[in-house]
Amino acid sequence: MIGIIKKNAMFYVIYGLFFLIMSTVMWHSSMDRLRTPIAVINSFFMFFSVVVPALSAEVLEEKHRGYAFLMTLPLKLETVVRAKMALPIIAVFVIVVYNLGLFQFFESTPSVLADCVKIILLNASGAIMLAGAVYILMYRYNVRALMMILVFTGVIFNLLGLIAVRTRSLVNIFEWPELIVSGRPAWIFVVMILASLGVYHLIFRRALRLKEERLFD
Amino acid sequence: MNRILEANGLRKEYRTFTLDGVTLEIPKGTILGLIGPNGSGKTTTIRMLMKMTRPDAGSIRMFGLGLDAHEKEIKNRIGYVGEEQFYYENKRVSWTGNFVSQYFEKWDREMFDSLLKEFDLDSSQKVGKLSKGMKVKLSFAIAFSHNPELMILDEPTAGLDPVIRREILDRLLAFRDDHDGSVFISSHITDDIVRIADHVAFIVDGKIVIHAEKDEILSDWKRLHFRPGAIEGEIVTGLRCVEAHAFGSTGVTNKYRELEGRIAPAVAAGDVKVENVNLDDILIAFVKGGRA
Repeated sequence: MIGIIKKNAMFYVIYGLFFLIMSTVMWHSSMDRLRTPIAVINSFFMFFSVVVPALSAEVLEEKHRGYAFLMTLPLKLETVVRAKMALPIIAVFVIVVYNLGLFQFFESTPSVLADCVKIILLNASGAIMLAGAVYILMYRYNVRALMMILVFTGVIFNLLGLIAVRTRSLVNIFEWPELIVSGRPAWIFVVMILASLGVYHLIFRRALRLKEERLFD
Repeated sequence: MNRILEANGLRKEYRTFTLDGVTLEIPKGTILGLIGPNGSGKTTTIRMLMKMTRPDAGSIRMFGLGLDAHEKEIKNRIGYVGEEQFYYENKRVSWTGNFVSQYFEKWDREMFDSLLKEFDLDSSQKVGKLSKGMKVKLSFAIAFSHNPELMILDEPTAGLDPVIRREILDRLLAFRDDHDGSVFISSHITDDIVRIADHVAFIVDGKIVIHAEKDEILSDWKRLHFRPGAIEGEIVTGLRCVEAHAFGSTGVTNKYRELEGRIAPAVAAGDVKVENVNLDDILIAFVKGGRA
């Protein structure tokens, strides 16, 4: 399992480093942590840090018929899929820990700090669920097509964002983090993380079955 | 008899092809050759043994263990060379060796390095730059380097030059003779099977039609050339691939040892001539069918 994790980890390290640096720059330059685009953008960074490496690794795996190779080794498919699906969780964990460190460093107001922590936990839950959905889609459909859809979606969102900023219609959207987290107890967001991990495990079982059907039937 | 591999009633149904009731066994320290035309089910059978294809029915045991429950342990004891070689083509040969070494319990690094040298493989070369034959050699280097007890080989010598092909076959014989290893090899090249196999199985249209010792098969299967009226009745009706020509007829029997005594007078009189057949002839007899 470690070998497969190490083989695929490079994708997460490359994309993760890029997004962590971007995240740091943005937090550093932000004046209002909650009511600025930063909290939203930070969540996008987290999503991309999970989705893009998973897709990239899978594109390469399919290109080299990696599963056919791995199945000749003393490995169960379950171990292979488990290793691959462990990586987004590890990535999310690293990003959460890093961001918590950033908050402590850049933010001194206790109430804002508490809301920042809730936002990052909320984002982490979303990223975990998104990673699960990506694996289901990758194992059910063509990975390259999925990658193209992601790129296309990214371009569309960028264009929409540009238009929204130009027309000043995006301002309210950037208030969503504050609306969701303010006044709510932190334990709700911890429970969300635990629940998303539970759902992720169920998704793993489903993804494994899908992969088995595609490979072995 | 200590059986290394037992496959019972393997069945796999596809839209255009059905592998039906494949039963095979390999005693320890022997080589079983699987012969069949294209699309007969050789690769499907081997993929099932490697748990790369899920059978609809049937069971597989290797080393006395069920494949489903002991996949990892069993694969640790198998050296596999497939029909196609799949590797991470952007990685180097040395990386590939290091990567697979993590998963095999008895990986022998020295043996791997020495096989790379022997096969003229440059460990710093990217796998994607290797020719098809070189990739097959890499597969053999990996397969031999983890000290397997059973080699499962799917058309392994296709794409190899005659020199390395002979070398591989000799190595397989040494694997059987010196290490009491067992080999399951499928091949179109029946010369390879004749050279190394102890047992032979023929698969035609997804069914095993013969599974016996090679010498037994070659003793049973003979081509008979006979004058009109020299042999009659069920002897003639039991022949395959019967062809009439100017001097009489020719047909292939699979019961020569049973018939030998009965046709001896005709043979002595020169009315029947008996000729050895090779494994290709037997396969053709099955594919063409054609009982008289």
